[in-house]
Amino acid sequence: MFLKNITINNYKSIQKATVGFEPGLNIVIGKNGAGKSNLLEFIREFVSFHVIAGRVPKNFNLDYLFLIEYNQDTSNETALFNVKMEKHLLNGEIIYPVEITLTKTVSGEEHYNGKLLTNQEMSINQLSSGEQSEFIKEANVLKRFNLSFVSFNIPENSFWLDQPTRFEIESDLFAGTEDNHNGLGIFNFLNNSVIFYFLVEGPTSFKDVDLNNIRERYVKIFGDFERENQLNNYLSKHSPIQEIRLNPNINVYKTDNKILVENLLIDFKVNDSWVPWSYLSDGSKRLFYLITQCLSLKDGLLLIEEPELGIHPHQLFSLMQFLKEQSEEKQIIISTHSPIVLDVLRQNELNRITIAKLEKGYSQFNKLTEEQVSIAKDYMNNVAELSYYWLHSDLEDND
Amino acid sequence: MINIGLIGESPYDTKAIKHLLQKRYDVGYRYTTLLKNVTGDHLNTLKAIRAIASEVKQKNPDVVVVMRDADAYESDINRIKEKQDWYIHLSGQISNKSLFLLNIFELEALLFADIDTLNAHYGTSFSNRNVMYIDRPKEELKRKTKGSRKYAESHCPVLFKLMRIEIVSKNCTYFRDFLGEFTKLIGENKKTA
Repeated sequence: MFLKNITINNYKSIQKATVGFEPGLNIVIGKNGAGKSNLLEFIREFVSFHVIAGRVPKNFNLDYLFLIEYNQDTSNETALFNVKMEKHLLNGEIIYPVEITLTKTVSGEEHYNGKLLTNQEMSINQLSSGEQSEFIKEANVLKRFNLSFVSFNIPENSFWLDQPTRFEIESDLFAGTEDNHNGLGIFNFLNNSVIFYFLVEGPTSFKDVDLNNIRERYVKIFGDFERENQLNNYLSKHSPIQEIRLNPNINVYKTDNKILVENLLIDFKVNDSWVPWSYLSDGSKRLFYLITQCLSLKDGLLLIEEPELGIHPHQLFSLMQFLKEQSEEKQIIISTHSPIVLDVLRQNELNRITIAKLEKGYSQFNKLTEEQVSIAKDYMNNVAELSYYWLHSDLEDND
Repeated sequence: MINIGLIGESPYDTKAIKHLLQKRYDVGYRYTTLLKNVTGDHLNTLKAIRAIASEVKQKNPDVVVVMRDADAYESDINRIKEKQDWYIHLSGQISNKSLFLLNIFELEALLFADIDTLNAHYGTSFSNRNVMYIDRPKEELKRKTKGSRKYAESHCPVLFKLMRIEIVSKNCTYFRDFLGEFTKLIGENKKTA
């Protein structure tokens, strides 16, 4: 599934604009203040929405595309937006369209309405209970669309990185609480995996829990996870970080009714020495953040603001090779000012460029015209890289 | 010390071929990538050709190995000629000895030339076949490998370190021909050293 099209009305500098995207890698360029950040912010905020909880169909093997139309009704302080979802077979044939309307108030209350559109428009209330249930199943597809956002900033006061996290396991061994808000998503699984261990194969009685065993369990789960995601492989290839590990000084305490696990932190190997997060350069931190956020998203949409910030050109080139590779599994939308980022696109990928411009004070988003595509290809064939056209000619301007 | 300059369509490609050649030509040979951080499309440009010429002049390798992907079968004469013409134009800009390795269809074809190593690494069961007739070997690798072991271009350097050069040469005609020419050029260099 990927985000195909988005229409925005009245969001910050975006009065009325429609932007199209491709599966895989997409790049948004434009001068400062043109609206690139507003576009990514909007996508982040409104693509993740809630629908009725329910079970996702198991044999789910179709491509879904969906379009979002957003309309802000400022007269009564509600944000009303329509989502139209079209279900497609892999060869592009539409089976049937579904339209979902979500009303979201300023206070966060959400109301959901929908239509199943077949030969004639019908509201959901007119559907039979079987059809309604089918409709709800389809609507839950939207809930499966994962989204991750990498902003300009390196996360601060992050658990696992510059703040140790702690975990309390209840005496029934079925639940725990963690201090993990503002922790990098990729490590959130660790604590839950320990609970899962107790559920599946660990001691079933609180009194039988061996504290050393818990330490070993954390180390094992971390090692398995690292191997499964090839974290160290990607980090060592695309950043100065050679390896990561769980800090071995995990403190485990047992009281009458709880097990406390403290001092959960990630260590980093740089220049053959193990160091804490605080010892990493800002550039290394940013690379770590970018790479792990990308790897933590198995599918869905990754938004990245200016990956080039604080990154050496050689490392940026390497990072872009990584992101290009990752874009085969997930949709990635990048805003950038960097020629190196733009140059990752090939001649047959120029439709992946979106140019943000201010027109009469409002943001507009355009694709390359046919003429611009022709000029770009000429540059790429006969002169230099695509960014040469961007820097020295009128890729962004029509002057 | 014999200096080998390498030009390829990506840093992964040049590292990969270096690892394979080092299986036979290691001690006494130094490999240098000319024109780092470049991709296939960039190599076509005048800027890249001039940059390569400058790199060769500065680093003065004894032999330059220029590697491209044909992105076509041997029978696609036009596409093959396009790449060959590009190489002829490039070699006219450099006075050092050079050799062209044109991968049919693309570099990943060589992985299929040592099928046991490939299958052992990915847990796949590819069968032996003429590697020059595999349609888009990179896509086939991606289709047939899964999960955390799904093939990606960044795997090439590690894979080529595992490949056996004798087996690859035996099972791939274009690589065998290239290796023969390469051996001759290296031999000539040794004589003049």
